[in-house]
Amino acid sequence: MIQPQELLSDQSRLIRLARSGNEDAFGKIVNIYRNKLTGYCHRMIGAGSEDSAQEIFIKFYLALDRFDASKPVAPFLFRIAHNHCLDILKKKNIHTMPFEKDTDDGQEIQIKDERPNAEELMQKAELQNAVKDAMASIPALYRSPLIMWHVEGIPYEEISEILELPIGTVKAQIHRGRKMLQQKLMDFVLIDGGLE
Amino acid sequence: MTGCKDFQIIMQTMLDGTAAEKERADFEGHMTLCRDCAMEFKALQLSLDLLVAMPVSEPSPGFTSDTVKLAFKAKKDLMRRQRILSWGLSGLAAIISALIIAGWHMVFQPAIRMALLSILKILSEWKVLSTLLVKVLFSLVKVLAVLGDATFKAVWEGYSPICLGYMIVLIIVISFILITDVRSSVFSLKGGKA
Repeated sequence: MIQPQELLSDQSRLIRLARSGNEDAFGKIVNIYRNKLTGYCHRMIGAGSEDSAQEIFIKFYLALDRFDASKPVAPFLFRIAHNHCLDILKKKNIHTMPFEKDTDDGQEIQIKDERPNAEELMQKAELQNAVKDAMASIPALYRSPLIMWHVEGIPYEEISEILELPIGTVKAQIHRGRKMLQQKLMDFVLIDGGLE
Repeated sequence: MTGCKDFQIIMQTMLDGTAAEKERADFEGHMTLCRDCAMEFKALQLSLDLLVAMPVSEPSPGFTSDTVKLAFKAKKDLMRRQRILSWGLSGLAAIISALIIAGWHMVFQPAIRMALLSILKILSEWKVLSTLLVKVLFSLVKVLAVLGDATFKAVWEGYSPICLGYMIVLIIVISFILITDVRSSVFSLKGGKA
């Protein structure tokens, strides 16, 4: 298994080579992060995620001279991705600022002990659309750290570095994002998830 | 006493995976008693599972090669634009400098002529000239040593078009002014002697 330190030194070598104009080295970096970035963009902006990921890699390459090769690539790349997605959402005129909305239907619910398999549930097109819509309705400022933490598994310290925000703020944004997602998906979760 | 409100906070630490053993035990105990909290926690977990399970199509097969080509092309375009801009700016700066020098020269022409003649007289003694040259070279070496290789490289790579363009235009203009000035001074000296 590759140790984080080895991975870092390998990526540093690739960065130095890419900076000096080695196409293969940059191609390897793209291969390492392409799925992560496409997934992040898909969850952040929906359609056009592949084009966005490509634009992010181009921005990353243009900014390589400013990048300290001894540091990990992911935070720098995700910072570019975060700003890029915010720009796209602003251009599309989709809200990126938080809003408050509470849903409290006060239903009594019977709880089952085991929660259902999400991957099986996601086979339903209706539920896929519901998750997409729910994500689109969460303000981008909450959505981005939520994806970074839950999907990409980036630790709080790194998210705080990427978003240039204090850890407390990042945690609060993720908590709110979770709550909003749950509220948006409540009906589907109750019916399809069998919590009702 | 711990109420539902407190468990809302513990719920988040449970989702973060940072809940202490006691917090976890308390929360699990509370879930068996409070249907609302239990339902909320499971709904939160399932919503997050759905987010993770959201299907994302893989990038197309040519994604990497296309991205690399586009990135390298973008870099070349950017460097070309920067070069054009730096040459343009250096030309503009040199013209402005030359105009300032020419204006200053026109105003203080007699004084400059006298100063130049004095300098020429001193420089005509080779010993003074060689000493001066050695001193200048030593100072230059010292400055480069202080700046270091990296700084020198950065200046050379980043600003060379600006410096070069500026220096070329400025040297041409100043040389023209000085040659004209010295020539007229020499002619006037010769005329005086005659």
